[in-house]
Amino acid sequence: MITKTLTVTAKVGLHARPVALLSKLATELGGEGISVKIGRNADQLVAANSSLRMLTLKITSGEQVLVELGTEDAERAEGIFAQVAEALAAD
Amino acid sequence: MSELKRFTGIGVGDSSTWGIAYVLAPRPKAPVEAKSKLGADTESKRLQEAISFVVEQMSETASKADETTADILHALLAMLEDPALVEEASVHIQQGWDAETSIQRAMNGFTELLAGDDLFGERVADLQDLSLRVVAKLTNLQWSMTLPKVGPVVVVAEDLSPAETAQFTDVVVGVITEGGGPTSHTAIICRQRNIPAIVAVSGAMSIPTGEGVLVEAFKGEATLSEKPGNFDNQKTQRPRIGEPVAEVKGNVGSVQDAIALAETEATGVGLMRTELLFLSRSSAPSLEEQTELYSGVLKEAPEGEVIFRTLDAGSDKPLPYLGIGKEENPSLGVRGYRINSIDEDILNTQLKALALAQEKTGRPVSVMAPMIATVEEATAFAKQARSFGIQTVGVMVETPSICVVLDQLQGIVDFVSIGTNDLSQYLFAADRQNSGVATLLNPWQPALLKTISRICVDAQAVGIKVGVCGEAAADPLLSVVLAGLGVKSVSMAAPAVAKAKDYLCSVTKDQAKAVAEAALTGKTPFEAKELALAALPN
Repeated sequence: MITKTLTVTAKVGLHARPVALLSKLATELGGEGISVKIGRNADQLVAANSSLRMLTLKITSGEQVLVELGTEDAERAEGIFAQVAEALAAD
Repeated sequence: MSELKRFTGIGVGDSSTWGIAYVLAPRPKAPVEAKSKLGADTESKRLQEAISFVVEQMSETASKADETTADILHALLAMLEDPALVEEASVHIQQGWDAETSIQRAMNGFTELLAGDDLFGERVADLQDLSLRVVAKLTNLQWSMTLPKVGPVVVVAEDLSPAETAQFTDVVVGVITEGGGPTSHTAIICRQRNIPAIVAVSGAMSIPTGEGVLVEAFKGEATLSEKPGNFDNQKTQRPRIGEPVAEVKGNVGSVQDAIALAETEATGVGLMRTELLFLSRSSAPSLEEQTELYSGVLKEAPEGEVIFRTLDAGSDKPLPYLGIGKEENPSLGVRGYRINSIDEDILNTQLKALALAQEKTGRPVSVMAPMIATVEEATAFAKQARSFGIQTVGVMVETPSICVVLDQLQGIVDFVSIGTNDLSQYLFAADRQNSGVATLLNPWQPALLKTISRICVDAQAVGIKVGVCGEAAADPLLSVVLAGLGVKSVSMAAPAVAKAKDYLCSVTKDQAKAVAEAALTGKTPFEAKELALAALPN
């Protein structure tokens, strides 16, 4: 498991496009056996392949989120974090 | 006032249009909850099939839609295909419920978590629309929309889902809905497609199909009428004749906002919300972090006074490190300046960071405190702020209690800023989160206008400057009224600046005063707006 703290920079927060992009990414990665979880902290992580569960976190713009990847491949993880960060910035 | 039948709501866009009303049939009612007669396996299969059907139908609609609509539809599709939805529904199916009941219970589980929040609450209607579509398929309910082939058509509906607005053809020139808010999908899509719309119109469904209807989005008004003689769907443009009758400032919450604001014609910042930095973290932001943010805002903000509001949080925006327990009525609890009574460090650190940012950038800061209810609180805050070297100090006017003792603030504060949203909430005893009392929170309510008028008179008599930083300032006509009442500056989000400036530059001080006096004679929000509009010179 590799984790990283990222900031939601999209004006709408973790909502609409960011949620759609993240769930798509997480669904694809799920196919490769890599789980993606997201939340305010380690105690309230939800599966990022679920738009609905992510919405219920009600995370707004400017908040920090913890992202947890079910992989030990550090290099791969960095690439995924970059994609997640991009999704969190999508307006 | 006249025999014309008028409807008011929240306008989307600033143009006007005329068309023939076409009322969409109300949504089918969901069937009552029932236990399965078919067994869990069959119910699961039925549900999967119905979901697939709706997914296919919506993908098809999305493939023909414009980009904005397609994006929204795809986001909704992702929710419908969300494994969590089927997971939750399966729990109910296993308990013996039929597929119809299970999908609705599953969706309600999610919508309950989303409700009661300004931004996320708007998605509740979208999600209910999705589950209703699945239910309609399961029960073979007819649910389709056939628009007239020739226009111009003004669509009237209880509410519209993106799947419905996506089917609008060019004959649709206007929209009126009973539900929806300014950030609902209906509003977003109409704004994007330049279709004037009025949302949150009570009684809209009583408009008969076939009647001519004038939709004036800017006024937030629909009128049943024949096509006006000289009507072409024009935009309202106001020529500028001089300097604005009130200063136009901007509301910001971050350095990025300040950068965006600098691209507008705003003169300075009327409200810098400092709460963003404090949310979702386990301890308060450090002095260094705060100094960096405040300096960044001061560096980027457009020329003019920059007003920072100290932390406005409480149990409605819970910060775990503050140690405020769960409160029965968060908006009446320990929020805003009241936090200072349980933790003085928060305010002291903020004021210190603001003083440092002032020193670092060489640009003076103005500071105000939220939720001030007494002269005692205002005095204590002003003393504390000035002890850190802050020259210009003010308080927010949000509680009715401070409104009546403004004369006693003489020599204590330099300015007051009216937060119209909270002032309305406390003046009318109407919860901002409760859509059932939304009409009381209309910023054109006569009692609110009179209160603002009184605030201006009382504050100015003792040399205190009055500003407005609530939603009301973003309504350009209302900003003219505010200026006429004596408000010296209005502050709003960056996108609203240009329009407000157009209006405030289009009148003289005397004309603004006349508009305000006209508005004050209105007995209802509608009348106040109507009278203001009539008094506005062309």
